[in-house]
Amino acid sequence: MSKEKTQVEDIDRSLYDFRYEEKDVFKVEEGLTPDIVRQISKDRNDPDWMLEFRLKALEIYNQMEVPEWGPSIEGLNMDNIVTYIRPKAERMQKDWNDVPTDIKDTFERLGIPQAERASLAGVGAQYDSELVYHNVKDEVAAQGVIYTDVESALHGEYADMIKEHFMKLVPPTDHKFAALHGAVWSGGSFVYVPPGVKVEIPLQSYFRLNAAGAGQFEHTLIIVDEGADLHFIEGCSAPKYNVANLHAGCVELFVGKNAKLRYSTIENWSKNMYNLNTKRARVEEGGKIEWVSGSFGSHVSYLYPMSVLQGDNSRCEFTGVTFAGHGQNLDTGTKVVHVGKNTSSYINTRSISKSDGISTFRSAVVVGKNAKGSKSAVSCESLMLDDISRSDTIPAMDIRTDDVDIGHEAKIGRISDDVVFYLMSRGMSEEDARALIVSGFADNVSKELPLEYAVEMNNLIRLEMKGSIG
Amino acid sequence: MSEQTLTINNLPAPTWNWLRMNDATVRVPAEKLTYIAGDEVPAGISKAVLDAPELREVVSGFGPQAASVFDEVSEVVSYTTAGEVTDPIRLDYDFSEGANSVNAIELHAPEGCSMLVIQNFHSEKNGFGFAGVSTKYDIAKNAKITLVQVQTLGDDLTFCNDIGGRCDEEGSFQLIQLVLAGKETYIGSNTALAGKRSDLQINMAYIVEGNHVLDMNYVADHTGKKTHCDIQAAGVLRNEAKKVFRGTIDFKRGCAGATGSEIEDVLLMDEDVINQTIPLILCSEEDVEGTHGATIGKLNEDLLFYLESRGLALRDIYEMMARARVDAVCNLIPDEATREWVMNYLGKEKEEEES
Repeated sequence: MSKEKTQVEDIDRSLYDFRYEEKDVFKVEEGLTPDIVRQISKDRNDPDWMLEFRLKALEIYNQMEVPEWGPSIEGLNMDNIVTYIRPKAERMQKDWNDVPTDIKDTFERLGIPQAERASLAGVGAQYDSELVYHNVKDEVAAQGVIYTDVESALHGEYADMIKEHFMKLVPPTDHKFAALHGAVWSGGSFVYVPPGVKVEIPLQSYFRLNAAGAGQFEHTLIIVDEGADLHFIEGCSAPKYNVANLHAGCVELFVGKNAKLRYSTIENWSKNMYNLNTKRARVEEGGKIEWVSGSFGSHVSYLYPMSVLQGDNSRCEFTGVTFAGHGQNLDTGTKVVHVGKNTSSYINTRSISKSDGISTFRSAVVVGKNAKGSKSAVSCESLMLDDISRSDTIPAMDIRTDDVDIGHEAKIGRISDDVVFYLMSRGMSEEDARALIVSGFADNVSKELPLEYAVEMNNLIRLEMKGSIG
Repeated sequence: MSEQTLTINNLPAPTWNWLRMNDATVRVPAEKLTYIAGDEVPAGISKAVLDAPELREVVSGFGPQAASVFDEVSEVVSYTTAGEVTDPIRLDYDFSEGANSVNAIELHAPEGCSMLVIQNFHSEKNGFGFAGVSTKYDIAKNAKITLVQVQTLGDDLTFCNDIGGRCDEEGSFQLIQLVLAGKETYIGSNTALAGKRSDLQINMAYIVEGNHVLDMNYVADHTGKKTHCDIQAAGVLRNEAKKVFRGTIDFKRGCAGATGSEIEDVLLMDEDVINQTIPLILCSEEDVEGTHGATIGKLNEDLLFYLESRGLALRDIYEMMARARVDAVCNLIPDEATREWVMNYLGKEKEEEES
């Protein structure tokens, strides 16, 4: 009997694929020059040190090469990218009713205010380069939790803290797009959780890029002090255009002694997006960072959240799923550097490729000479849904001491015909059977998310699988 | 012409440059003599000396710059089997003289034929210099080549061991390698599994100690349907030794039904060792099954506790477990004389250590 092939249709992105005309916006010219950087800095009312920092980062950007080891980014021409665009209306609001109507409507359609009411301790909403809404529940603020935009924090009580931490974990010299971020960043969130404070329900930032041919460069800086606990959720989407859009955000997370931070992301950029994002966490003694990462959107992604386990007994968990469909080349994974003694990392990922999509799992586990007693376990599984797609696994381990326990396992394959047959014999259609199997395959991530987000993720998978018939 | 610095053992899909695992650089002397290995050729095997290699175009594990290492070889020795020959071709490489040398051989297994080839690379313990050996093979339908390589080289010798070949329908290549000594060792192996149901089996074991370096690159290139590969490496690192293991299973479009597995098991015995492992699976075919796994570290604490409770000293346990990794691969060698040679070598090494 010949094997039947799965035919998979393109994703229905109507939920995310809507747009508004640009009106009443302030924006810089396309391209990247010192004058544009000065213009951005002036409009953001930067302190002097930040302008200097931006100009230095631009110099570094111009000196660095584009990475040659990952997916091609030839379609991205920085001369055509607008690096800064914001609504001219009043800046960040604390009441949705004060947000311009079309922007408010955008976030309503994405369900952000509803989620805020139902299940979040605070929300930040960024539209293009501007954080248009930021609010935190009174009871959370009363605990001393600071959740605001980075620009406000640069001028307020926490200015020194920002200066001390800003791009210290991800310096502009890290790679070309970290340098780009340093030069043109705008928007993003600053969170500070004081010692011992446990934030019971999550905070969320949502990033929406509406403008065609624009870039979004938000900076997220989170400091979870000693013994504190936080769950932060990041979401992002954009309508699809025929020109390239760019996302080169930067996330820096400082996890204090015995503190815990969970950072969850459902990334659903449109399929014209170059997602060249950098995320990094430094974890002190006894602290823990948990990454939960779902990558569904973008044309090209380079995304490898990195954990530096600095303190003794610090820990890291990374749980990720990547779904690469038609026209997508998603290069995702993680990096862990064990510096302290008795540190541990656990990496568990799934990747799915279909309709000529390319999914690459890339990881690095580095154990330094002093990281004695460290343990690491890496597990990655890949699923190929057709024979025109591609799935690669590139895990690296660099171990520089003997007192370690490092394990790695990986598996690649296809959906078992027997399992599909079994489910169909129980009355399911083939499409539903395949969607169920893929959802189950990705449940390592969905079971780590709050219910609402797990439902959204499973919906995304179901949309991707729509039309999967034998 | 001055000494060349060549880039070899390129990963088929590179990763972050800062890891310094994408390739290896090796210094190759400007002038090299052609080395002809002493050989014992059994009945059923024909030998020819070629002015130019017949398998020049066959891709090897070293990659594109391999030619720069072996271009100076003036005579390529070719061995062809005419049947199912079980007696081994024994090739003896004694690099004790210290001269910079290169050698190239070709192995041909026509349809339905098989051969066993044993290469013994050795020198005095204080051996020095540079040696390069290229082994290319061509395995026709239903044919098989078993290649055994045993390496016990000197403490100041750089060794480049490059292997490449092609398997036709139901062709089979088995590589058994033991790397027991040598200052800097570079091993590259590329097998094109082009024919339907062709098969690759690699079993290698290593002991790297002192400040020695072992750099490996194994590639199984699946293009034929229902092809299979199994790559297993196990070894021990001591003192300040460094080892890089690159292993790639490349499922190309069209290799439906292919399966592949690669495993590395590394025992780290001293705190100054450096271990780098990067096992790749590249896949552009849906109907395949591929797995890889790696375990790196000290011995399991439960196992240690058990053995210590039976009266064994910690040092003896580690020596026993290290030896077990080599013994497991040595026992696969289908030639008693070679197995005894390895056991004698390891026995002498232990005596020297104890004295």
